[in-house]
Amino acid sequence: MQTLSLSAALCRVTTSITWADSLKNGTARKILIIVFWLLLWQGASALVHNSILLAGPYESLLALCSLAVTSKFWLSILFTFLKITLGFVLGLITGILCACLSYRFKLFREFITPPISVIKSIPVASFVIIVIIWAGASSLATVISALVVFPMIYHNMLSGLEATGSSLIEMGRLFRFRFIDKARYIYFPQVLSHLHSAVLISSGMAFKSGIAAEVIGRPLQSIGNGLYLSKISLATADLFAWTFCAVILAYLFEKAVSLILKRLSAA
Amino acid sequence: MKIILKNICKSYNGRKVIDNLSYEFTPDKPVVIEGGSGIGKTTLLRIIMGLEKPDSGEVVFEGVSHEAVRFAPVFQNTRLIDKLDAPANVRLAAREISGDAVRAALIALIPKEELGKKVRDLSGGTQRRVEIVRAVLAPSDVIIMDEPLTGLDEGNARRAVAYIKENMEGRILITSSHSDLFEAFCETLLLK
Repeated sequence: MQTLSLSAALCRVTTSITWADSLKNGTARKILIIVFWLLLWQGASALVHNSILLAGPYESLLALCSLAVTSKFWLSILFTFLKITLGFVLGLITGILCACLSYRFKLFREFITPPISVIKSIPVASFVIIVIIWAGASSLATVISALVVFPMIYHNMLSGLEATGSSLIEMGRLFRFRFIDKARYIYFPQVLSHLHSAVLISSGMAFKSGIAAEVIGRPLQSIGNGLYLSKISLATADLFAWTFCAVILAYLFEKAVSLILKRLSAA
Repeated sequence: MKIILKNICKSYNGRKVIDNLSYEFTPDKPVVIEGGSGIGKTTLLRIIMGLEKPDSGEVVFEGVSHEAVRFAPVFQNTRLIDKLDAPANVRLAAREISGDAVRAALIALIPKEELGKKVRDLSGGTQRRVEIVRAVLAPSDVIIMDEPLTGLDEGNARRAVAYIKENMEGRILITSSHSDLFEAFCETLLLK
């Protein structure tokens, strides 16, 4: 009996220590902070008392649940995700290729600099309208996210190549390293450090701009279309639910990209 | 094959580093370039490898076109792929040579237990010896070594020089060094 009560007391002490530690610097504190903001949001929506102006977290959760039981919701998420991912990959590949060509051929760099400056300075909304006219709304998210990603990757890749130490380049050239070895062991480590943050930032930008383009172009079965429909029906809870999905999607995508980059750095 | 320097001149910031130098390098006559610091030894080696251009004069490669000449250098500063181990570094430059042969060559100069470490974790002296093995094993016509014995103690320096001497295999050897170990079998080119 005594042993049992002693172990129960020990268990209580251990639990309280773990909770205190967690509160100090761990998960518990993060959860409490999130709960605080959710309560503040709920309080504000109760105060406003108008679900069109400000839907609360509870209403938004209900809206999300009612959306989640429809196949249209999941198809919208899937198509938006696939289209933006494709755009991101296209922007990444073309940015890397063009940067390599610019690094190797000065004339190519001179040719490509004006269009890249134009891409960077034209507002996304203008591009959206041009793409709708030329290619229709279905490929909109892909083209726009590619156009947003491309210049960022191009510039960072090029600066990574240019920052590669001439001493290792000379060594690789004199020992006649194979192209693949030069790329892997001399250029890649330098380029990766330059590309790392650009890839992470542009992955987030791809989702933001891709979904913004969908709101303008309203392709069927897309998050952007869902957001637009929420707007015209003044369904703020639905708007928040769609936004929540977009944020989670972008977050998961960024995490996946970050994981791939970590693997590449370790290789 | 023969390398002929014809009236080479090179200046930096108005200061003449190499003044009207003419010389011949052949496989049967290894050469050690000597002279004080900043006298132009590294510059001369870089000119021979085509990494720098002389202000005037020319480097002639007799019996082979300039583009076809294969150099195997040990640079003044360490140039290895940090994240690879010593055998992998050597094999990048000497792909035709088997892994066993590369390891056997490395063991002649560095402790066996160092072979599996990434070169960034090796001491400066050990890295230098890896570079020496790489330059010797890489297929080449000309071995160029800029102060290859930097960071080596007397015993390791002796072993390194003996290894270089035994494995020149009819190639041109041009080295710069403050050590008298090369003088025993090399002709001295003194820069002033």
